[in-house]
Amino acid sequence: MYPHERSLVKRLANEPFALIGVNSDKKERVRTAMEQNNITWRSFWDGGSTGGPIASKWNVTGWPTIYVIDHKGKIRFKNVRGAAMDKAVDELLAEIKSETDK
Amino acid sequence: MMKVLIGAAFLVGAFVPQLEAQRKDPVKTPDSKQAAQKDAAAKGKKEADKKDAKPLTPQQQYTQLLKDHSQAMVAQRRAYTQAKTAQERSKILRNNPAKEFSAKFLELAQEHPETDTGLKAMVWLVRNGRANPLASRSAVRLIEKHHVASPGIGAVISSVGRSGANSDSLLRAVMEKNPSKNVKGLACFTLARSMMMRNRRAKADSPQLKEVLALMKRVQDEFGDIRYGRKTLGAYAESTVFELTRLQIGMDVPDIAGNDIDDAEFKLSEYRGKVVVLDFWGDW
Repeated sequence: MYPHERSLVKRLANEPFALIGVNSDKKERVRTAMEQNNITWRSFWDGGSTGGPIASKWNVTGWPTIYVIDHKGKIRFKNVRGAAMDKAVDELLAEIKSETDK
Repeated sequence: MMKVLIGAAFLVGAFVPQLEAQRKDPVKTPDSKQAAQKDAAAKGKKEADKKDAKPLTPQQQYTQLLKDHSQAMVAQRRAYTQAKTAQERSKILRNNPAKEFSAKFLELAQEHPETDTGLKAMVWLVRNGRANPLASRSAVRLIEKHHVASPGIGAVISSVGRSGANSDSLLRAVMEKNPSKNVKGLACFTLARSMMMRNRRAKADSPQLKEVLALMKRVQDEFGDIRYGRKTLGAYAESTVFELTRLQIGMDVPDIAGNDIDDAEFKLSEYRGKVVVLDFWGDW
């Protein structure tokens, strides 16, 4: 996961795009993971366990769980991975472009 | 990553009882010679008893099966610790004693289907369903036929739910006919959760997910205060209702407010105007 997400974030550094995490690890662990894997994106810290308040509320029972949200704040894709995630994001970025071009 | 997590949970589950068995072992065999003599004496006595013994009652048969099964598990654990190679170890693990015993428990259940003992045997089969799915399925059918109104089936509802669509009709019958509110609530929740897991990728307006939502709302209304694990059925139902009514494709994403790793507060809505990938992750 890390290498793919890293390259996505790098490729879209100058686009209206953000990768936001919700992390279920203990604090020390997530700090180390972020350093070692060069994770630059921001995460909500969910209390140090998979039963944290955000994951519980969102009924997350498998990790990773992915939601892709458009610039208007609508949920557009769920659980897309790898190339499918790239495609989903590119599609939504293109929507922003076509709106501003009008 | 999900696979790894499930695998780890499975291993923990599989090993905990065995570790306990190992811990108890040294206490159990203080003097092997003495133990062997005692065994021989007991065997002689048993054989003497046999001549004029009455046949075992169903309850005694059940107790005996449980005892034999737990001995077989201890033996398996011993063989595992003594095995020399990884190959030997995995062969021992594959040879789950529950496989052999499930045939015996099923026989007992089929001979006395209406009794409490029969129900206990069925419960055992469902709980050990991974060792013998076919026997477990037969047990589910027997419970459905004879015990939907028994208070004793509360203990097995969660395990029943793990056998997928096969258990739906049993859970529906329990919801209708069991007199206990707790058992009814558990059946309602378990049916909803089992259907949810099977239809996660379906659309929220599909008939299956509409029914899941109706069942979970019923859990909230009628059974919300029943304790379940560390929470209540109501709390678990709420999460599913939230997912089905607020987190579907095309819906406005609910805001999240929280702290980042460095304790700085932020909100998901601060990123409005951008395309956002929201990633629930963990480093495991």
